[in-house]
Amino acid sequence: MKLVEFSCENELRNLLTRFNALSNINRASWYEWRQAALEYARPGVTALDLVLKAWEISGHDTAKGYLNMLDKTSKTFLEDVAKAIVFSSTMMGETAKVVKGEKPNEVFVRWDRCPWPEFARRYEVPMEEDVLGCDKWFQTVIEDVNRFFNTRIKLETTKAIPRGHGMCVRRLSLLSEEK
Amino acid sequence: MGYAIVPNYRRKSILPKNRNWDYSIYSGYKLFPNLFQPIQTRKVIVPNRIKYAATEDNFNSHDGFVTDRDVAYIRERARGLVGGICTIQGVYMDPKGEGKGYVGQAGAWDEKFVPGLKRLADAIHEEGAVANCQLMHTGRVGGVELPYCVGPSAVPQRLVVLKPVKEMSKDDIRRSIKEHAAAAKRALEAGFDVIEVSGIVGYLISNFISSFTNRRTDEYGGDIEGRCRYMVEVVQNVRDVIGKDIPIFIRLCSDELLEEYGGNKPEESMEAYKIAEKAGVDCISVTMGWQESLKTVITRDIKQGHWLYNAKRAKDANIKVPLSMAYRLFKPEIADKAIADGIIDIWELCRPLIADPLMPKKVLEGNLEDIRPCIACNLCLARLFRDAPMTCTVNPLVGHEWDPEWKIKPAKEKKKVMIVGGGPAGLECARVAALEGHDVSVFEKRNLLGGQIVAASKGPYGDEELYGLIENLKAQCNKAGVKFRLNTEVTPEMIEEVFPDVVVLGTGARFVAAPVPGIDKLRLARVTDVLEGSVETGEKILVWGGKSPGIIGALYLANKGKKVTLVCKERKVGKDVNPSYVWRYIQKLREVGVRTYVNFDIEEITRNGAVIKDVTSTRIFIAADTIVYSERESATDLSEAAKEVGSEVYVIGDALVPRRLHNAIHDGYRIGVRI
Repeated sequence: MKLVEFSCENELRNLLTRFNALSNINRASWYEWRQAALEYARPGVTALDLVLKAWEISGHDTAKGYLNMLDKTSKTFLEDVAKAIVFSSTMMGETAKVVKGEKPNEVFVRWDRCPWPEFARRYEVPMEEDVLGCDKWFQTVIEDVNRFFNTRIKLETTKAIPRGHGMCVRRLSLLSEEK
Repeated sequence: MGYAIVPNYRRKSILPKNRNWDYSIYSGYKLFPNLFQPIQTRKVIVPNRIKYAATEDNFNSHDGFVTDRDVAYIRERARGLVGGICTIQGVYMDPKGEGKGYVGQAGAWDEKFVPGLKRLADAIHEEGAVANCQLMHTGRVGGVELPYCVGPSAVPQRLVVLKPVKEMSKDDIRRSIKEHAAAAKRALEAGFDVIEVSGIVGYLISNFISSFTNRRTDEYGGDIEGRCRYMVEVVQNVRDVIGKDIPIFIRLCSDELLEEYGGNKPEESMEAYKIAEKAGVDCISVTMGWQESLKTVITRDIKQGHWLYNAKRAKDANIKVPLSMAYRLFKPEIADKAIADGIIDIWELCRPLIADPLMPKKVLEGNLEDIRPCIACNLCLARLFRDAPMTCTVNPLVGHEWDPEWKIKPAKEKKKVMIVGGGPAGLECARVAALEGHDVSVFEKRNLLGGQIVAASKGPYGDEELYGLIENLKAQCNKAGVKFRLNTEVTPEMIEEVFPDVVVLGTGARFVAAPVPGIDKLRLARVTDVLEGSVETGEKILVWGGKSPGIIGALYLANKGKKVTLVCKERKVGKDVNPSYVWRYIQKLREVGVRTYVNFDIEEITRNGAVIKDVTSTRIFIAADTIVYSERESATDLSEAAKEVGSEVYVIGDALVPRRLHNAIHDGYRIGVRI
């Protein structure tokens, strides 16, 4: 029987090409939907209203995944939340990592690269909308995590690439054990 | 109307008398006699065959008013033309700005713009050149400050930076034609001698002429004659207002290079030439390509003089009006011969005069070694298309001609300047500092000057032109009295011994291979050594790093028949290369079969290759026998030693931060005038 000619490198290359194309389509679709929604939005609804709402819906969905991954009894609970954020971000084509804070109960997530602002620019969307949308998504995720685990994690955006800071940084802190 | 060579160009002309040039006393006249022959078109007598082609520069205000910056820029170009034709940037002609393609484009849609335009015409005349005002509706490249642009048909855009096209109604067309005529009248009021209409690279007239962008079925569409109607009516309406003495020039595509989109065939373009001639134009500027074309036209991979065959086609098609041409025609000897051979009549220059505004003057004087050569990097265009003021890699003064702070002036205090590194940054700094009167020495550890340009100029596709800049810098440094110490590696002790007032560190970047596991298991080569041929490589190469050194290395090796894979951490290859050039690199990488992996870095090197990993942690094994590393880091080693001696210390070029050639040259210039 003749063996099928097979190159692992080619297979992975093809897969990655498709993955990258799909990621780009995903980002483009976001802004295209935004445009369509704006055209049909009722009077008085701003682009930012729509964007924040959309990210809120998305954040609730993301949080559902996190709830299954996290364990409140783990000593690294806060770090695990940060890692989950890194995981989500990486899946979306961003480069992110967890950086431990100097204080106990404090971790940072740092993004060195993010493709979203480039798409925002391409679709002529204000950069600040990108920052606020992203922030809404994280805040929604954290709110759901807090509600589910009865914790008081606080998330603050301290730096943002769309604001020209060169990196995004978000500080996660666990304010106290229980509400 | 045809044209005639006028033996006595001092005969009655509508130009002021100060244009009575006598070129015969200059050595360049003997070298290039055809460039310095007069030519008459209608009542305008041009004493030589050199024309500065219209160049947008984004130096004017956003509402279309001419600025001091633009006047100074144009004055400098006019000065260099020694009597030739100086064209100002294409002006937009409609109040809405539909025809406006650049944020700093000058306007001519109202009388209020006449004083500004007059300043440009006056500056050109004061320098003894012929003033040409270009009228430019940018069509599907326009609407720079609008959410749309206009064209004959609403054909979607290929380039994301361009606006969606709105089809022009007949009223729109008629209004646009009238706007051309009104703007031409204003140009005459301002004092221009020639009116030029732009019909190239995807602007409105070319949109009408091309079968790619004109799908109309009315009298402005259909066959080539119908598609040329708009151009004809523009020319006729302009003629009606400017009278019979003023020439009308037109820039027209001889080959759109849009075959894959259904654009005009070259034969149709020649038909358009004939129609333009019949409509009454007095000179045709032969151009190639569109901004939407996928073919390279003006980058270094195109040989000098390559496109002359298109001008010859026009002559063969019996076009009688004079032909001018730019487009990779940088060398006076090629232009002079092309005129002698009857292929062109006027030598047009755009980018070479951005790079060196005095080029024609230097040609006339026979000082060819003084010409700062354009390296066809397209940084100028890249800036324009991104709404930034134009700049130039090799000429830091572009856009600063008006600013006394940027001028080279005698130093108040003569200083002993030690420049460490004979690369482009060091040489430019040395040239400028020496011209200011300082005592300047350049120390270079190798036996030749040029720094990384030595290796970069070994790249394929015309990169040898890069070294021309180093030749120019060397010659200028020598003329300015710079002393060179080659084969001299500077140490802290040497700085102490020389005891300079100023130390300028232009030592270039250090190429580094990150210490990944297994780095000693495979042959490693620095990209500059590969390019200079001082190391051998195997057959399967992994080039590590996707910035310009990595790209040039990969292209060089692939052209030698090696199997090349390029791996870079960035999201795109050529992150450091300007957008108007990088697409050509990417095209070449594809053509020669270089496999590229973006978003990847080397995780581990083995005896047979390397494991690379992307941002999602996906790993791929790349078979290789040689790793060529091309990433760079700054090198400021001598900085502390120089400070200890008490010298002023400046770090310039890649030694400060690894960047591009223009950063090196501009750093060198700025520090040179600051010392």
